[in-house]
Amino acid sequence: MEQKKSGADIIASLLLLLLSGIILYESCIMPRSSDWGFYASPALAPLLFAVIIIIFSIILMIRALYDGGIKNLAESIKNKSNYDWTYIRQVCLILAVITLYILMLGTLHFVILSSLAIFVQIIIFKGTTYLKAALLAVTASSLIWALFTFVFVIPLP
Amino acid sequence: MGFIYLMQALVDIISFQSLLYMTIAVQLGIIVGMLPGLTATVGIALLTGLTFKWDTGYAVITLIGMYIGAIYGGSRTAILLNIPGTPAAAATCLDGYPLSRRGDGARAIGLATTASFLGSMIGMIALAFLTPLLGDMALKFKSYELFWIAIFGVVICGNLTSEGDALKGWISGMAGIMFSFVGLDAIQGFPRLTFGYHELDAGFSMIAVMVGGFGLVEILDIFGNHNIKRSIKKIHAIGRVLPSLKDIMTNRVNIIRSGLIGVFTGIIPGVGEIIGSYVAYDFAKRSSKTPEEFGKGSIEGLIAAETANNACVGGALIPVLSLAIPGSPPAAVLLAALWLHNVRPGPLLFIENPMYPYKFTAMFLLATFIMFILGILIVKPLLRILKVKDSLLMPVIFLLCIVGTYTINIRTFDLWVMLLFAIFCLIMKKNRFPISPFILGIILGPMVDENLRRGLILSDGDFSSFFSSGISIVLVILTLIALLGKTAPVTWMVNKIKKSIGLITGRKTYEEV
Repeated sequence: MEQKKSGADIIASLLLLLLSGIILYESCIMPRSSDWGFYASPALAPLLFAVIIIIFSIILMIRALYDGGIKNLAESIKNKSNYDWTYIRQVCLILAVITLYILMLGTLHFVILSSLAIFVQIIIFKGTTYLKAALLAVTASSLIWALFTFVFVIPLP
Repeated sequence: MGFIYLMQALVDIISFQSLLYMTIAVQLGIIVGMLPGLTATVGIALLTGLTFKWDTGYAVITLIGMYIGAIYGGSRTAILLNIPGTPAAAATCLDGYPLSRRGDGARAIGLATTASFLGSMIGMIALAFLTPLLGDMALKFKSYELFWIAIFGVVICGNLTSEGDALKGWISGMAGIMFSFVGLDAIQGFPRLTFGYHELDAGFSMIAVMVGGFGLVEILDIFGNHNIKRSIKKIHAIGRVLPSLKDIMTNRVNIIRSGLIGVFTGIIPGVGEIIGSYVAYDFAKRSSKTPEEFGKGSIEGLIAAETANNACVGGALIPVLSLAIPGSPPAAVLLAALWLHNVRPGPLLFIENPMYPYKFTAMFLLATFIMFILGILIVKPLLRILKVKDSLLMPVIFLLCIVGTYTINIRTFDLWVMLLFAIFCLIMKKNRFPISPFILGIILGPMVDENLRRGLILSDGDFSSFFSSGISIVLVILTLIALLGKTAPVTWMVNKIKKSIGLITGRKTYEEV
């Protein structure tokens, strides 16, 4: 388990270094002087914390390398059965449903779109029969829409 | 004098409407707390969206009711199914479930309800007395002290929530602080890290971040693990739930000790109820005459865990009101909600709105009593909710997450922010980077940024000003202890000391109990 984590830690530290590098670059192109001097500059805090994360990421990487991270990473890439593909697939599926839902908000009535989204999720994960899923989806969406529109008076998309 | 103000505030807030909202909120909170996968944090975040347009008083009453109800509600499933409904109830499983298995489920629920009530009362007393004291002290805080307290908060949260890998906790916290820099900076109005997107000028919506980081991430995780059948064990039949006065009186020292532990753990930024309940459980076991009973249905263990986790609620709200620093993840959402309702917690609250802490405490007191009444009276009907499948419940919760996030700013962009943070936090979770310090970093990042720059402006660039006052030096030392205390040489030394005085020889971990 420790070995598996060390491989992931190498990737994590590389991504953190990339993120910090981007922040560092962006900080360098922010205005660095002002009437109050550099320390009032909007770049000060991002610069400081980007450096702190770079330091922590390097420590994480050194630790991961010391724990055999390179070997572990190579094994993980070679041996794909180490990954929980079922988990990844199911998460990607639900993310696709959510992404599509957000993209389509405003194009269809809220009740119709939300009913479809709930129905699809229940069916994908085999929650119940088609008819019950449809009834639950329409009821939940309608109730939530009615509550917000007429009781809380908040417009929904 | 404070007691008079508290009573006055209580009389002011009691009305039919406020009692109705409070009762509904506490009951909803108990249901949210009972359902694994839903936490107090998610419940408060969802209710924030729902109550956004309400009168501030009713909105805060509802949110406090949800918080208290949810922390208590987790004990039901912990006792009856050995599944903590909320993380705060994890320690309750250890003795609650064995009690239920041997037919004492009703007694366990009665005790858990009473312990929660008493813990909440201890938390309320601490909230009433310590908040003004800390508020007075906080008025002496200048930019330098505020900077250090925010840094200390993130570091200590990283230490305590990182499951043994403090480095990842600190990285999470610092990354959270970095994400908070997105948007127009507070001093010069310069757009930082917006990459030309004007929607980011105001930064990331706090509610979108929290619903994504605490709520949607759980939904994604539950769907991902869908093939792992959560075995709904038989819910053992329970009789009438009544608290036993004899059990409570026998455990009065345990209750007071656990309550105080809960309060002081709650005050530590970002840590939350789970740590408080385990620490109280540990202390109860060490001081028990029958430690061998712990893990097998010990009344003392159950009472310690439940008293502490509810006392933590009061403790977590003390730094919220006095310093605008959340003591736990649900308190973080509550803090964001208060800001949305134009209540400005922090040192200036005692100048701008000096009665507000008493009003807040009165709401807390009311919620505690309602929680006790509902906890005793309504047990069996709610158990049916536990039989609803995740595949039916989670899609509805997802819709509430969408609606709750959208209603804050009425813009779809916040939904993308929620989704982005859900994906980011899920990846963090799977790689054992804790989420709490990350969210705390986002909340405290503006405090860090503004006070760092303001302090340097006031001292004309003199960094030594950050080490000039006694409070600053204490905070710096505490931060250094938190950082250095987790380095390998120090950990090795501490373990050596512990071993030599016999504290860890032959001691079982909680997982082994």
